[in-house]
Amino acid sequence: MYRLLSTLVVGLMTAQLGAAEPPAELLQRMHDATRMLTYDGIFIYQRGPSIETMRIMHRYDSGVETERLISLSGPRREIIRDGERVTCVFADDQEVMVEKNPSQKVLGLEFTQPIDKLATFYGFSSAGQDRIADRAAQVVAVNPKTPDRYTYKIWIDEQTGLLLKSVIIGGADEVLEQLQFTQIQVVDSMADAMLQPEIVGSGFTWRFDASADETGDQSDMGWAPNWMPAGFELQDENIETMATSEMPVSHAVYSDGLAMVSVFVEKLMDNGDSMEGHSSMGAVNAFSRVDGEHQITVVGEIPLPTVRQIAASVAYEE
Amino acid sequence: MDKEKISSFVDGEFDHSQAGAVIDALNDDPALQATWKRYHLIGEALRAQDDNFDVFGVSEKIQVDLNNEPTLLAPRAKPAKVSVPWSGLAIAASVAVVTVAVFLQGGPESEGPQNAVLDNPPPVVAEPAPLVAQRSEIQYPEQTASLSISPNTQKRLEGYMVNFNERRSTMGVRGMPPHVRTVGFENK
Repeated sequence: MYRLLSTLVVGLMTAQLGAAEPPAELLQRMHDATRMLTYDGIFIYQRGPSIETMRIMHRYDSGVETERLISLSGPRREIIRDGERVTCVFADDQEVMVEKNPSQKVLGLEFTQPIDKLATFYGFSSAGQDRIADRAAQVVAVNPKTPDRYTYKIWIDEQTGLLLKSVIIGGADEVLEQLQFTQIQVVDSMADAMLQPEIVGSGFTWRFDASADETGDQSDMGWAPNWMPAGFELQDENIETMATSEMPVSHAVYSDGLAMVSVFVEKLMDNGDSMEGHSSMGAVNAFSRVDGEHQITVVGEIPLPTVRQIAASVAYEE
Repeated sequence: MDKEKISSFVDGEFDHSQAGAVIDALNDDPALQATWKRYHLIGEALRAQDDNFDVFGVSEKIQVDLNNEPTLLAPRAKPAKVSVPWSGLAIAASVAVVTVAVFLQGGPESEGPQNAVLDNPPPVVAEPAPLVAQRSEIQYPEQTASLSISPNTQKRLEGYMVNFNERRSTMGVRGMPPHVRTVGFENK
């Protein structure tokens, strides 16, 4: 049944050819295609002076997405997402990290998040046609109506609806990061072997994250931001045990349907270090501060001032 | 799931077809997790003796990169007591992706178009309680001291970044496959 539905979706996606497709519909088609098609592609990812080449293999089968992302330049690295877990393999560190995939909790969102809602906070416009990876593409500009989020420019495959190129632009028209496929093909099926890690060997260190709600410790629930940019709604909230934190971490996720913000709160250990300040990773900004015995960190695909403002508003409410 | 399998798993000597079962057992059984932690600590200690293995998962190359970087986040004055985290983040090398910037009020980031948010703060969603108003006036340091971030603090931030990217991969319209940020750290 799922395979039949998938085939129908593919058919619908590939049937909608033509240059006159409204930007919002193109975005919706891309949203569905990137998840519900099976494809194999190579792309270049640029952030600041850093340029990397990667390969993505994505399969949609029986309602389950499986994705393998591997680096083709620099250190050998792989990330494999399936319906249950995310496995990160880093050959340069001889380490593997396995985390439960939280997508099951929010799976419904990704298919029901209406593009219409985005129109409240972003303007969509057609930015012409282009050719990427030898495929005809429609270009859509997504411009925020307020300065508290980023501008996106997205190249969408006319035939399949897949994302072919993406640019995230910050203030002063600064390109924060961009991605561009050099080749991509949609396939009917993908063998399991293509979605297995290849670089794991003996001697690798395996690390696990006992994730999501398993600690039973709800003591740090109740921390919440008192301010969010318009349109950002709470999507998920739980206490997690992270591989990198000794204490359980309260993690709340907010989204406006395009950008996303995470609010992390954890109790500081007596001998633990605290952090205050900000860092950035391409279009992702983080801001940390300490409130009494708690470390508050906000991470978001939004400008730094917005992240800071959210972090400053986080408070504990009984 | 017996301890022998866990031991094999920690040593990387196991049948890969059983990886899923082992992972599930570990996720579901706190006692097995404790066993795994113990075996892992033993293994790390042995490796540390053998070849000066970096128990924090920060490779020497990356540590050099870190030392050459401006300060990322300024830890408080409290001295770092470095413990051996059993679960130090596997992707510690991704520290290299964290671009450093001078931070906080009066710094370069407060200039330019992005500052519009701070100059004209959007309306607060909820009526702010006095306590909240007070918190929003928190005074941050004027500039970053030239301090090195501790490995523990760095790992915690990395963990947040990875968890953020995981959630991002399942939510909303994706303008960028989030995990490229995890894979594509800068290579120097």
